[in-house]
Amino acid sequence: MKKTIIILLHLLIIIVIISCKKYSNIQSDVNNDLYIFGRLHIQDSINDNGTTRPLLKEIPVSISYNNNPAKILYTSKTSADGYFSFLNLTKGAEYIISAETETGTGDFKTIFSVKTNILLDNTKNSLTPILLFDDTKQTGVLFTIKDNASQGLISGCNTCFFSSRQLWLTDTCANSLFTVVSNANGLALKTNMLPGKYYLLFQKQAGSLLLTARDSVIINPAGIIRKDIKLF
Amino acid sequence: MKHLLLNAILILYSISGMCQNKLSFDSTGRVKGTPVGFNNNVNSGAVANFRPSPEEKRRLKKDLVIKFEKAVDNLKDEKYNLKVTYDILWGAGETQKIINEYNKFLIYLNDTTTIIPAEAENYSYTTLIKPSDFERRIFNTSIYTEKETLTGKEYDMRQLLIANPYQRFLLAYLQETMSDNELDKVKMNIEYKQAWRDLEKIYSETIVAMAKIKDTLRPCVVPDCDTLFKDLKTRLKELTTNRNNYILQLLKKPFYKKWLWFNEGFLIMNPLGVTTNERQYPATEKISQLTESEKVLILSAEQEDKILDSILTTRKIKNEVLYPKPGNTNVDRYYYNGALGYSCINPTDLPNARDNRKGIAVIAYNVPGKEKLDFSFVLKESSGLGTVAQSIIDAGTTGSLSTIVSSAAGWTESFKKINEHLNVKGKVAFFDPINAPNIGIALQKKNFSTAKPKDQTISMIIMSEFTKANRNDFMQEKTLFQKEVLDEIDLDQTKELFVIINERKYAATKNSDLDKLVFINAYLLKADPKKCNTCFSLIEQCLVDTFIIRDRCNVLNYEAQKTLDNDVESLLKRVKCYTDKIDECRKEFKVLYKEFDEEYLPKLKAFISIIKRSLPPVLTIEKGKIYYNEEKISKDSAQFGTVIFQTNKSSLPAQPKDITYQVTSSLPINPADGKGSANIVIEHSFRYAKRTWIDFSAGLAYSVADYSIKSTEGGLPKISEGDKFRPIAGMHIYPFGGMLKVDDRLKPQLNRVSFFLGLGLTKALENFYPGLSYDIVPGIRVLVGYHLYKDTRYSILNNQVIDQASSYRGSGIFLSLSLEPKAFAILIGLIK
Repeated sequence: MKKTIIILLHLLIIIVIISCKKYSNIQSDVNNDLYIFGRLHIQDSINDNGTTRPLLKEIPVSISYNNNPAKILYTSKTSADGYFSFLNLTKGAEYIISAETETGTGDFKTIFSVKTNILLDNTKNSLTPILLFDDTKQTGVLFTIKDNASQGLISGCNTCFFSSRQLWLTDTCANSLFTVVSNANGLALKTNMLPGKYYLLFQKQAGSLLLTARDSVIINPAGIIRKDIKLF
Repeated sequence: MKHLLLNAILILYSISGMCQNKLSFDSTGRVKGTPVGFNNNVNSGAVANFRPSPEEKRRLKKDLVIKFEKAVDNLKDEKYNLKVTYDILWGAGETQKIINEYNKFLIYLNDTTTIIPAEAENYSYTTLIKPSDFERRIFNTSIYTEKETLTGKEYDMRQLLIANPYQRFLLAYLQETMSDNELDKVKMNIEYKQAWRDLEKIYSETIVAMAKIKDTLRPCVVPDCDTLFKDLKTRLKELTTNRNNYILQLLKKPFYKKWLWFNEGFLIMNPLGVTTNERQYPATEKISQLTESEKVLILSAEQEDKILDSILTTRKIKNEVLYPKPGNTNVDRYYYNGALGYSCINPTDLPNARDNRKGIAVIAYNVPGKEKLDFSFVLKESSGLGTVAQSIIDAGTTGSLSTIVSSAAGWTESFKKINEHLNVKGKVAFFDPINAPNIGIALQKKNFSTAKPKDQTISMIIMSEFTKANRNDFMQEKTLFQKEVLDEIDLDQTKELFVIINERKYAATKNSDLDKLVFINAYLLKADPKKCNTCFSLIEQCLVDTFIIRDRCNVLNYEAQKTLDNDVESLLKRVKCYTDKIDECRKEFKVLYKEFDEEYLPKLKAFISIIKRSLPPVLTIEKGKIYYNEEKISKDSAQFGTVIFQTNKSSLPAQPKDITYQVTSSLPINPADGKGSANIVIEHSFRYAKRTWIDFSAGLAYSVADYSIKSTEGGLPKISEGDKFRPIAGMHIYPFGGMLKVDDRLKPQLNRVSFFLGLGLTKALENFYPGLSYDIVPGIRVLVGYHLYKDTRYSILNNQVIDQASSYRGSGIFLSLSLEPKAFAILIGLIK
């Protein structure tokens, strides 16, 4: 009997030790009954006037540690008016709230994203992440077309992309690979382009006056190339 | 750390409870205060400097007044001839000086104030010490001393001794005066004994000489007194002028003057009356003033030893205090003070409950020796009543102080009585011609010539009694002795004579001459013929020899009444003739005897009457102490004692719920009503049980700090606030001696501290409550400890738990109030 009790006690101690060891090795992601809440906003200067406004749609939003952004702890979805929250977070930990969405139509359908850090403590647990045009999420160009004389933004300007210099020199957009028309903000956006060098022809028929400009651009594998174009 | 601190506090508390007062006594010799816990190291200063009380001082001075006044009286009393004798010994006028000293000292003794009268103090004493020295040595000395500790098996004993300062003074005074006079060098040798033999020889020769005088006077022949006394006178003069007698030389020493007061003026070789064996006067020596039986009685060694013991016993045991030896922890002791009616010395130590691990000792101090105590257990829930204890030491009684004080004086009184008795005998033995000068003349007081007929008849009748052989003849002849005449006798007037005759009760017919003589003596003296026969044998023998025998044929040889008067007249004349001759002899004897009796014999008797001839004892004094080697402590029991009733563990009764121990006294509660045979002087009840080492309890725990718990109910882990209140149950381990459940006192006790390990009654395996517990009273426990709860760590990846591990972590301090299971069940209504 005594022997049995001693053996059981040893087993109990071993179990406790093993349990404790594993316990100590795990970084618990659930430590405190704390939460983060917020509302996603978007600032769209391409399709909109560039003002910050609530994102009025449901999009995924995730949370991860700042020191380990790759490990997404939780992914949630905003409400229709952009609200989100994350619960059971750890006090003192620094989190990253991430979200991404596409907006616009046609050639102007672009990706907006946000990554916001927050150090969770008792005084701060709310935030307002703002989705911004994400140059890193897409490949292409974004031109801001202006009148050289007035410096005013020019809408309706055709931006023609040529892969061949000979064709580009024809000044005929019909020979171009594709053509993008600048919007009311004077922006011409073209995404999902293949990397390489493109020759550009900008044409704006303003009454009897044809304003033009030439340029070229090399598209990188990732990223948006921004350029200001002045028409003459 | 907390545990250590708590232990330290409890230990300090218990130590402070054990620290007790020193052993000390009050002025009556009783233990005072709380002697519990004293030991050998705390005995210094236990006895205060108590001195004889004013009452004792007054009593002793009063006794001494009587002694000194008697001494003065005896010295002045001429019948003892002390003054004459002492003047011979110490010089003329010396006795008067002694009397003057005694009178001065009496001024001090009679004074009741605290200041010694100057008249007494300033007198120049030669045989006494100054009153101030007397005060210092007797009344200003401590009467109490302690005896060193006597070691016993379980208990040690310390005795408080009470001394008799007067008796102690006497011993010291004896030693001092003996040393001053070198009496300690005097030995019981041949020289000493021979001196006494010489005195005895002179005395016995004197007695023989006196007997010779009596014998000489018997035939009524006038002796030659000068010749008779010549030799005797010579010897007596030699005695009174002989300065070489060793005894007389001794008696001249100032020592005997200095002790004269103690024996009320009478000389005694050994003032205290007792001595040691080697200085004892042999009982085989002749002491003429004592009969053999008296010698055996007075001089027996056994008797001497007893008196010597009493003289040397200056200290008695006043109080015997027993106390436990350090280190014996197997017995719980409860102390009572007999002087306070057996009240418990420290009632707060009396338990209302106890366990069976230790025995019990009930210790009563200051128990009067005459009181007998008995111990018993009363088992109230048991059928039996048994006495299981035994008294270890019982206190006895001790005689009163005054017994010893008076022993020396008592012996002196005895001596005096014996001496007086001997003196009386001495006087009786001598013929007293001074006090009875007219023996013969008394015969004439009865005048027969004028007697009435019936008186004459009485005489005749008496004669007929003496001559009984002829009485019937007289009656038959019907002479004057007719029956009718006899009937006329006035019995009242003749009563005395009849009594005389009737008391003789012997047959006169065979000794008619002697009967006649008795008749004459009776008539002469009108006294008891037996007394005459002894007191006046001298004249009686004279009559027999010279009168009766020679005139036997003529005595009362009458024929009829008419010749009776003549016969009687003739008888009286003849008697007177002889008594006249004797008177002449007596006159001469009287002169000689007076000289002998008043001048020589008293002086001889003053010395010879010293029947106590032992030499005073030689007492050796220990340097630096006031006690003598020979000093003894009374073997009697102490006046106050300590009674211990002790049971060991095994002799305790079985464990009922209630138990009472009682101590009954032999003294009745109220002696006046004659009842009270069961006088319970000590009684204490308690509950009795085993100690608890492990116990259980249930209660409500409160976790002081907030804590969170996690759960995965419904998918992802959730965190919620842990319960601050939670019913718990657990086990107590009492490591500090075990808890006595039946002890419901509030008194803090270390044994009520326990280690606790509890579980939550909800989520039992997820909540542990280790801690310390203390039973306010057994069964009601307050707990403090550390709350351990189960915590799980979750590893989350994209809304999924990918790993988890659990362990226990502390939420912080918890407090709890718990009850033992039964009480808890009653509280929550499970048990009614």
